Amino acid sequence: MAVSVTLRRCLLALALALPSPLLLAGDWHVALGMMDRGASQPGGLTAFNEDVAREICRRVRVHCVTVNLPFGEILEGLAEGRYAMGFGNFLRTGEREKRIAFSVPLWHSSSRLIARADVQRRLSDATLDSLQRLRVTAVPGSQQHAYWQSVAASRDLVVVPAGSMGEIIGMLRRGQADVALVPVLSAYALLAGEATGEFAFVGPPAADRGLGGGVHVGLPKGNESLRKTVDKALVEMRADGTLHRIVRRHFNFSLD
Amino acid sequence: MPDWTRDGKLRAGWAFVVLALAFALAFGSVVLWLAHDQQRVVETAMRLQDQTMPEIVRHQRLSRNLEQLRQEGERVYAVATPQARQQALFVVTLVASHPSILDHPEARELARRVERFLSDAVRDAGSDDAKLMESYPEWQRLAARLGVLVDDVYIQGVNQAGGDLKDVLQAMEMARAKLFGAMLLVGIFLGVFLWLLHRHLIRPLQRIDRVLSRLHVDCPRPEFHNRQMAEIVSVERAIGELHDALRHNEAARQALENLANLDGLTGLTNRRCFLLQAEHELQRAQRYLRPIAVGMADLDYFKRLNDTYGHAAGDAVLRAFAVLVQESLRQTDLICRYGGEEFVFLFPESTVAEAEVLAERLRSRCADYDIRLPDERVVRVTVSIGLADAGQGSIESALKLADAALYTAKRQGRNRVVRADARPSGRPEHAEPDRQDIDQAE
Repeated sequence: MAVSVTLRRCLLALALALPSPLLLAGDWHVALGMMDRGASQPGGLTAFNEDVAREICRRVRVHCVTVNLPFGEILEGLAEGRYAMGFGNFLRTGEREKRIAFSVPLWHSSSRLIARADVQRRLSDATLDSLQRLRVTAVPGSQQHAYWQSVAASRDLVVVPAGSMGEIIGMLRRGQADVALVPVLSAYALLAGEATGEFAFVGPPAADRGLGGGVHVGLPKGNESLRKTVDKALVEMRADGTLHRIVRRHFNFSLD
Repeated sequence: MPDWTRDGKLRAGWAFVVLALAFALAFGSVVLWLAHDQQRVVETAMRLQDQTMPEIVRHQRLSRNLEQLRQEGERVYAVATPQARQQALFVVTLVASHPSILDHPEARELARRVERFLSDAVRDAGSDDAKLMESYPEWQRLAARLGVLVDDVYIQGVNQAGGDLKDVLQAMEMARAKLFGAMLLVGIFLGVFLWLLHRHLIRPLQRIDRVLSRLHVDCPRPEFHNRQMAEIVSVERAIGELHDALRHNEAARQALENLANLDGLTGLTNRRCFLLQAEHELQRAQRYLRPIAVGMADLDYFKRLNDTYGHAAGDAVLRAFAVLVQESLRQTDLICRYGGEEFVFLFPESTVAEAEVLAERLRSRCADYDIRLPDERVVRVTVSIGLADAGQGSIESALKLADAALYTAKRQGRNRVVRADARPSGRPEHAEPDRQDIDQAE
């Protein structure tokens, strides 16, 4: 028995000491979040995530097979081990940590309220904590949706789920929801294509209560060598400026 | 309680144990002292890595985002189209919403104010650029405040590392001084240790080595002084005892040798020793063709003297004759009590004629020599001597010739010296009475 335990420990130590590409041999299936169901948005955040994913794969010398998925399905796929990496703009929360692992922070985010301009004028002095008796929306599975659900009852809010990030603008326009709580970068992507003055931000940004902080790459739980490999690649990308060059390629501002 | 001393002297083992403990204590203290500094360096470096560096990065990120906020605000006024202005305003909103700005109260407040000011300015101006530019001076004031904050945050970030680096530097300088002190301490201890080692161990051992290499029975007993180490003192004492034992053994050996080689009554060489030495002398003389002669002497009428005066008187006469022989012959001549009142001589480097001169001198002195007996009476004895050449043949054959000459001397009336013929034919054993018979007759 003792020999068996010792042998297992030796094999484990040997496995940890081996180069990562050997352990992670084979294609990596990478899930990329998309703004609209069924199609990825050209450029912007999705393209940024894809470039980062391919750079990681290049550095660890594996072939990446990317899949575009709605945000809500990425976490499930990672939890089931179907994907090696998931780029769903994940904020790190205790609930998520029970299901998936996280890389080092990729960039930093906060959340903001957006509304039609007329609603924004009505709620001009409102803050996230002062909203009451409104129809609010967010993408199910997101932190923003979780927040709405946590305060809906106490503030008499009606939470209207959005099918995807891309549907939010339509819901606001059609009056199906008064305000939406979205990640700032997503809000930028959503509003960038809209007519000037039709939509506006409401109140100050929020980074507390799980609505902001570091954005991580989602990873399957329990694969420590994979996590270390991805972290090492990200740290090196940040150190040699590759990550910042990718950001500059897709955004005219810093995501860091 | 350990016994530190023996006979008032310090034990070397304990001395070195005490020295080693003192060194270990002193050096260990310095090492611990150094380790404390090292720990301080490690802790500071870890703090620098885990806390300060992320804090510096956070300040840099905040500084950069504030600067971008200022630039994007400037772009709101600089762009030509409403779409571009809206785009710039989006970026302002985006940057103002960045967690790094939200984490900093002053930055958050200023960013919020900038965002609201620009949003209100753009909304109020609509597509009227002139109206928008009316708010530009106010924006410049806000931009100036942003610029000041950018500098402040940047400097705060740079200064973050200063304290830690200063702490590390102080610890390293202190460690260097302590290391120098430790090396000095080691050097001093090493010097003292070597000095003590040389003084109390190496030098005494060298002295012991010299004494042992020269130790001999003829030398005086070695003397040692002022030794501190009990073990060294023991060895030196043992050397003295060894010297005493050597002298005692030498005396015993000498006594045994005398017992084996000398005659107990007269102190002259005995028969066994004489024959050994004479054999060597004969070999040497015959090898180098040197002259050599033997003589045999017998006290005349000695039996009568014994019968008249007693054996004690006879012994006294023998002792006196032995002294006389030693005084009369040369130092190089071998003299031996051959048995009873019979003596033999070996004359190296001497012909029979030369030996005859010596023998005659002895005979003459003996005849005139007064011998005082134990009872104070004085007697005189005469001696008959036979001489023979020992240049050829064995000592036994030479002695036979001398014995024959002695027989002739006895027969001719005693108290005379007779030279033997070249061939041993002077005493036919069956034709004439034996010398022993003559002696018996005396």
